Amino acid sequence: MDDNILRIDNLKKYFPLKGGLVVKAVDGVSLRLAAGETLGLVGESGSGKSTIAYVLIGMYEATDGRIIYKGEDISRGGLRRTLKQKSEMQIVFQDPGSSLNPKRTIRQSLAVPLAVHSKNTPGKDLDKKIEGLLDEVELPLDFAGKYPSALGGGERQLVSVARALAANPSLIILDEPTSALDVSIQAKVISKLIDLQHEKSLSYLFITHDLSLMRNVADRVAILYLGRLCEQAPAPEFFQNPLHPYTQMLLSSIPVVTPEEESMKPARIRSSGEIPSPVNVPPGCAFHLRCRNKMPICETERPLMKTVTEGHEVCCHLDFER
Amino acid sequence: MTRDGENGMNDPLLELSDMSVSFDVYGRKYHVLDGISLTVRKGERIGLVGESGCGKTSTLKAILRVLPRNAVINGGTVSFSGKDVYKMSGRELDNMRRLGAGMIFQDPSSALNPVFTIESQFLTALRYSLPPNTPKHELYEKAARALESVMLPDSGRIMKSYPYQLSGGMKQRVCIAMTIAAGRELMLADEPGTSLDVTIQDQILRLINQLVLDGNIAVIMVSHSLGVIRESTGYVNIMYAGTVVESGNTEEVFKNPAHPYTVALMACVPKLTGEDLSKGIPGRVPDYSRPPSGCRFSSRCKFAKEICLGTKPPRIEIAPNHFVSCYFAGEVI
Repeated sequence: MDDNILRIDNLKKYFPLKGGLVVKAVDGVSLRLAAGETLGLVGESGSGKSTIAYVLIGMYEATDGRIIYKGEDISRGGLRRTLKQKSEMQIVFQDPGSSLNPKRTIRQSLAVPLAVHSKNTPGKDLDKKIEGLLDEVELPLDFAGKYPSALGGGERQLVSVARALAANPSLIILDEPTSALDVSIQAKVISKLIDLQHEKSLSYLFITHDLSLMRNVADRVAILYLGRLCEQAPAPEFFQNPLHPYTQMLLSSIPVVTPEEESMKPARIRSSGEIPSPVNVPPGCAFHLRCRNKMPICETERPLMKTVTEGHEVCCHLDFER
Repeated sequence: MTRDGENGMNDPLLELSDMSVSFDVYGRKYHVLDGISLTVRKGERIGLVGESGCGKTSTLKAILRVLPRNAVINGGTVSFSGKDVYKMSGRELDNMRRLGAGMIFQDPSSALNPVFTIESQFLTALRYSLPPNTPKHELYEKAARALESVMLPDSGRIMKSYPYQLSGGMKQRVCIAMTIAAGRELMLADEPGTSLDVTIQDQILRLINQLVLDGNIAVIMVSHSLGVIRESTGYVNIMYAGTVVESGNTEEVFKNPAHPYTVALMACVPKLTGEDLSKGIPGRVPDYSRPPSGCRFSSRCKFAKEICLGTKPPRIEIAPNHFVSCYFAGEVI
């Protein structure tokens, strides 16, 4: 009955500091992701978006909460996952300059996941598979013998995508895959990612700070603030009817290039204040220090996620009656 | 946004004409800036926008005459308040940097020295700008006033802080305050919001706009983001591979982009309205050591013809105050 391939329930990841302090990087996040869907996870720096990615991929062990992938509980750390579970979920990091080993040729980098996930591939087939991977991301085959330093930023990122594809995953976590790239290169990488998703019916968890990119890429958008979700909704609904005060502030802060976009911004809300340190999350609603609709209750009581319309959830004390 | 450019009566504060700069790297010459012309008047907000490596920062460095040693000026002039920057004596150059033009950088964390308090760095900067016998309390007052003008009201605490005790947005405000405190006329802002979150970037850009409106300063805003430039400048220069391919009043250029590069670049920007993204611009930026003799965009331009490859296109005024360097400006799109 459940067509979600990934479900996260009340995920928490705390990092203890010296002196008994705790960084609550992720503090009770619940998400779901359907097969073939792109979920855009958007937040400012320090909001915990990358931590969620690292917990999902198994680099960190969750402090609390459950991660259900295709019906199997994978909340345990990555070391205790089966090879099959690991191959199902892959990640592409932000900076291809540091996620690709500079001393390995592209062939060597691509051969690692192949060796791990499809063992006993004879040498000849390995070459063919590497060519196939390069072909899938439309890179010239002679790139196999090159080092990352000989490639441009966009090409390197496509190699990272090819490396993720090598394990034959059904879910790829894209952690800011294009934020280090120029827009003309970004457009190329994004269009390739969208094509691949259609060809292989992949699911994407697309992590970014660039909200306008999500309009083109995501089926659903979720907004993260200080390790908690503020709002999530299907993309068209999200951009037409943003409800959470933080979402509205975020949207109206985006510099845009056309008057039509200008008119989509919620009545010019001046952004004010800054994101507090996650060591010292304000009590009640984490956003109340910057919120223009603050009520007394916001300072004391943490709001719950409530459904406004089908699929549109907001975590705020305000009343959103339709 | 129309406020800019109305001060046409003013003499230009800064004028670059046909600046060309190349860099010598291991005996190879890289022709980076190729004929950059700019004019900045008091109270104007001028934008330079382009992708990485197109020469935006080199242009700013050329203005302050702080290009690295391997840079060679191949032609053109920079004049500040009517004086040729590259013919200035040491003292004149010092004067320009003390009271004329100052720069703020992309990353405020590396622009401030981590081992000194804001106070010590701020007063050092002011001592450089103001006469040497200015008493310390006067310097301190000036600093406090500047911090207030950048919306950092608690100046006493800020001055006592080390950079690590301030957030990114606050550090950038401090950098801006240091630039304007002595009353400089021109601020060169090199990607001032890029390393900050969007909500903080929005605050910083609003602050810079306000400073231009309030006082008599002018700003050259450098950014790779078309959105930032559209919202915070009155006049824009679109740069590609060391050349200005299109320039004009910001509103006009964004409404009627005419250079094929500008059009292609705008199509690559993701929009809130959800318009289809283009598939990027094919090809790569030309090799600066052997740039094409014609239009530098010709190798990637889908409208390129024979003539584009041979000789540099002229700068054509296709509408009042809207210049395009393309043989087919107005015909393409």
